Amino acid sequence: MNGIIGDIISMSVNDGPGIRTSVYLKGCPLRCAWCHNPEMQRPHPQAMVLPSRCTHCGSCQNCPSGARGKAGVYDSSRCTGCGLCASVCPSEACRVIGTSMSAGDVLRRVLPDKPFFRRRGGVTISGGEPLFQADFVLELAGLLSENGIGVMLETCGCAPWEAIEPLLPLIDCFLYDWKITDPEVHRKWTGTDNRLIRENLKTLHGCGANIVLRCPVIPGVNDTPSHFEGIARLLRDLPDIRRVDLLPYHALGNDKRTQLGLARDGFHSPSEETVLSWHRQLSVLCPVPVFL
Amino acid sequence: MRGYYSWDDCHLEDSLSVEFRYTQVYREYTGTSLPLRELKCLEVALPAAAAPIQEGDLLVGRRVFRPLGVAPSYWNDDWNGLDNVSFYADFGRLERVMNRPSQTEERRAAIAELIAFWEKENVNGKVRAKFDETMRREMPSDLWSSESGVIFGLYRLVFSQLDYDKLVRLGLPGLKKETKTRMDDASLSEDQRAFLAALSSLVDLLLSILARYESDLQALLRDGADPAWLRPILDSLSRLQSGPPQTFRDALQLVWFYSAMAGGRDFGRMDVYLGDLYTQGLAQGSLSEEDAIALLLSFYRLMLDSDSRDGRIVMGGMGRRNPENADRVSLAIMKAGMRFRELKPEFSLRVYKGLSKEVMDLALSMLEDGMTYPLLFNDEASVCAVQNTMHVSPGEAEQYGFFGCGEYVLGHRSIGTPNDIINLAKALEVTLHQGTDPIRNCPHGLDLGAPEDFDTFEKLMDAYQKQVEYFTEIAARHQRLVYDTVRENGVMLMMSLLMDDCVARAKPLVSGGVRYLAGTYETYGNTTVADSLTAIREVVYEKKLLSLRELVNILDADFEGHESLRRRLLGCPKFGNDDPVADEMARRVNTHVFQTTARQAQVQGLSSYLVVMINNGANVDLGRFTLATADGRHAGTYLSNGNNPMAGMDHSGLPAMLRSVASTRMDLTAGTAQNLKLSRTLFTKHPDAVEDLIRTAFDLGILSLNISVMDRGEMEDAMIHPELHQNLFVRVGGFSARFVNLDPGTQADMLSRALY
Repeated sequence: MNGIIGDIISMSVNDGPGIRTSVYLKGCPLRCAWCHNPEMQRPHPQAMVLPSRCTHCGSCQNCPSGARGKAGVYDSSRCTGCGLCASVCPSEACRVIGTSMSAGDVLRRVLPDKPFFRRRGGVTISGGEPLFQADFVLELAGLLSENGIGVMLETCGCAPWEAIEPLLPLIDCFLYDWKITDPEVHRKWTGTDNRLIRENLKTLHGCGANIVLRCPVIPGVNDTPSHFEGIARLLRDLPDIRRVDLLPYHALGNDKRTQLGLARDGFHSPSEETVLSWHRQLSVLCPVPVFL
Repeated sequence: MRGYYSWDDCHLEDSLSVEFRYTQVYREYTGTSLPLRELKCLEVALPAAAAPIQEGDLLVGRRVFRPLGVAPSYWNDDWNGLDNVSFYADFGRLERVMNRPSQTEERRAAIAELIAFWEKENVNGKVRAKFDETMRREMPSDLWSSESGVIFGLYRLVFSQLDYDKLVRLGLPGLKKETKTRMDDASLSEDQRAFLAALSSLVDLLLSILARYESDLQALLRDGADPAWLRPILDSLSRLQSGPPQTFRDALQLVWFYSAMAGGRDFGRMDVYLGDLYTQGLAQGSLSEEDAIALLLSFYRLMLDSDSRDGRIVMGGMGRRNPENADRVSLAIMKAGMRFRELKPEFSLRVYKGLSKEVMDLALSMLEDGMTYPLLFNDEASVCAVQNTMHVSPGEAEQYGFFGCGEYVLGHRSIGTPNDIINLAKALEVTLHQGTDPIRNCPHGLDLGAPEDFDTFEKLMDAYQKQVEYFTEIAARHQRLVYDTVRENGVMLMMSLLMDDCVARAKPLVSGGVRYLAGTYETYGNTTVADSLTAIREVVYEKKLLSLRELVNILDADFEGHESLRRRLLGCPKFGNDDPVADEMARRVNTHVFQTTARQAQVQGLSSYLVVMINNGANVDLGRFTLATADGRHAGTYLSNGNNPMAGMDHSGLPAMLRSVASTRMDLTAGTAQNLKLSRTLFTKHPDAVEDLIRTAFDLGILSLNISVMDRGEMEDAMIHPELHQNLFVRVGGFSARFVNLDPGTQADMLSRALY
């Protein structure tokens, strides 16, 4: 079967140990207000337009779905990802995110990177939410494992347990997002509550999976003592989680939002001092090391 | 480029008395034996080149280069930027002195006569005077940085690595004894005896200069100079006149002094020849690491003040007799370098399994510090490459060294500094213009047919290759001519004394003395040519979008009015992206020139003749005189350099780039330079990944890595020139993006964030 791949990036070092190749899958059940990969939310291919390169030449006005209008206006909700705009754009302002690839295609793209993985590295499947394409992830992870490549999965955990369970023998480590402790606040900022996410995390922990808890901290959303205490409580309940990654909000998603024709997310990057303060608070509360 | 002759000529008096005396001796001894003439010239030149100690110096031997002398290479930086070999003359400086307002008419006329004499007698001029008709046609000028052409001659023996280990083990008196003992051989010819006698007298000359320094320092002491500063130097000078170095300081003093007098610029396996005395000093408590660092800093300062090029120090690698001691002193050598924080010395580390972790870790810290040194060499692969290309035993290959931009030599066993430059992109250009240089508008290279005649791609390829073979053959003949002319004019005494097997054979360096008389030349634009041929094949022969003639016309017009075609050409496969089409073409272009060159060794009677693909600014200068190329490059733009992708054309990530460059048959060259730009964050936050990256690059067979760590400037430049920074990824909290795909506001944001 084929998956819709948003991007494949070699030499990734922030998504797990060693040198990794990150495979980004499109589609996500959440709509986090601060999402830094908004182009990965929708499951199908879509165009992105770099405003600084667009000369408003009008070459892309003949968009069959009407997503590209005059004067460079872009309505991404109408984009079908056909790629016509990218093919005619003389200044390379348009590009299409999302390619249909089989697991074998991805493997062929990844295999040449294998010598760089050595003992530590491997592939990190990310997104979007990779479990949005759970069958594809299962096939891909299986194929990678068969080829001696370690696999990590970066997930928000919002998927049926049935999608996660078969992956257990194939995934070296789950990079598991924990965004907001309170279910209703979670719903407010991501579009869904966190009950399934919490359940899956507990079950995953119960199965003995290797888990790194990844906690985005967004000013004005979850930079609260109650959420930090919630993280610590969760870790005390799930003692086999050995590490927390603190992911402070950054504004890079806004750049992509602009390229998708969306409004900015309205958040502001925290100062270095604030980030260090979060790190100190969490480090005091949590029973495991917190990495920044 | 900072010229090392940029000082004023204040040490040159109006009378140029040294130069006149030197010339008088040269004239007087012409017609006697070459070793004697050279010795007599050195007896005038070297004492005048040894400058007084300056405050803060811990070693003596400050070197000034006078406008006349004998050297493996004199870099005439402020006149024409050219190297001068053997008996050199710097006409620019002589003319400056001649034209001083303070000069008398009489002296002015005498200097004019001096200049006229050396115009005939300088060895570079003598080489050019022997050019045959083809060489005169194809190499009308040596000014590679300011004139148009496919080939330019260089003139030099420098960068050879003298046997400083032997110097430290024997000392000057020991070297004298060795030459004396060799003279006991009754079977020696008169010429051999004259050569050895000159070597022996050369050692006396060097000892006399040390003695002069000693008396100068004693005079300074009497005048009230600080004894704590001068006494240790005096003690060292005294010891060095009677025997081999006894201490770390002695060894460093002797090596610097010899190198300065020889006009050498490379220091070979410093860890080996300093390792034992360093460790002994530490064990005896007579030396601390801090003492050693202070001495090394003085050594580096002298190096920096006397010469702006090279200064290569080699550490690590197989074939060391004292690996533990050598690793130990390597730490001090690098720590001093980190404090010195200048572009010299050029530290180089041969990375192999036996290297101590401490040394490797310090090397990575040095790189993280943004020093771009040490240059890392893949030792196992380099030994294999040297063994195969230079036809030597594994044991000898283990003693490889490298100089300048990473070219291999066999330490104190071979010479082979590049003596020519070939612009491959220009070779393709003249092929497409029927043997004409369209910039100079004169015949250049072979006329192998008009574009219309190349009705298949293979015919074009064949013509290009014939053109390269033609110029390679000229380069090889030029290399031979340089050696022959040097041999006919001098013996290179300072080099001969410390190069195998000159004393053993009792023969001067290039007259059968050096064990391996090798040669190399530099190619530029290799990737430019490969990418151009890939594009030509696609658009002209496969897609038939236009004829070759039409393409040539468009290139001649620098794509004016044809921007869409240029974009089409830019979109063709490019080397550096692990693209099989582009990489195969690069392999074909490179392997052809490597093998063509290697075949010339036998023709010219050299032990090997090889290509080097190195890193320096020549790709920029040569690019200025190269029209637009079919890879989409504009006229006048820099060419590709080393074995690197064309700047900005590698956009598929680091692993893909490294796989491409590893596909080049680097093992057929005498060195290829590989640039790698890494982020500081990678070094600080992911040292394991850096280690994995280096190991994997070496596993792929890449011979050397020149790592630079990106800083603010890199990203600032990416905002102005995004096309050059396609591989600049920024990473924050699990997010990766191509920097150049971000909008300026976000880029500015990233820029400020990355500094925290």
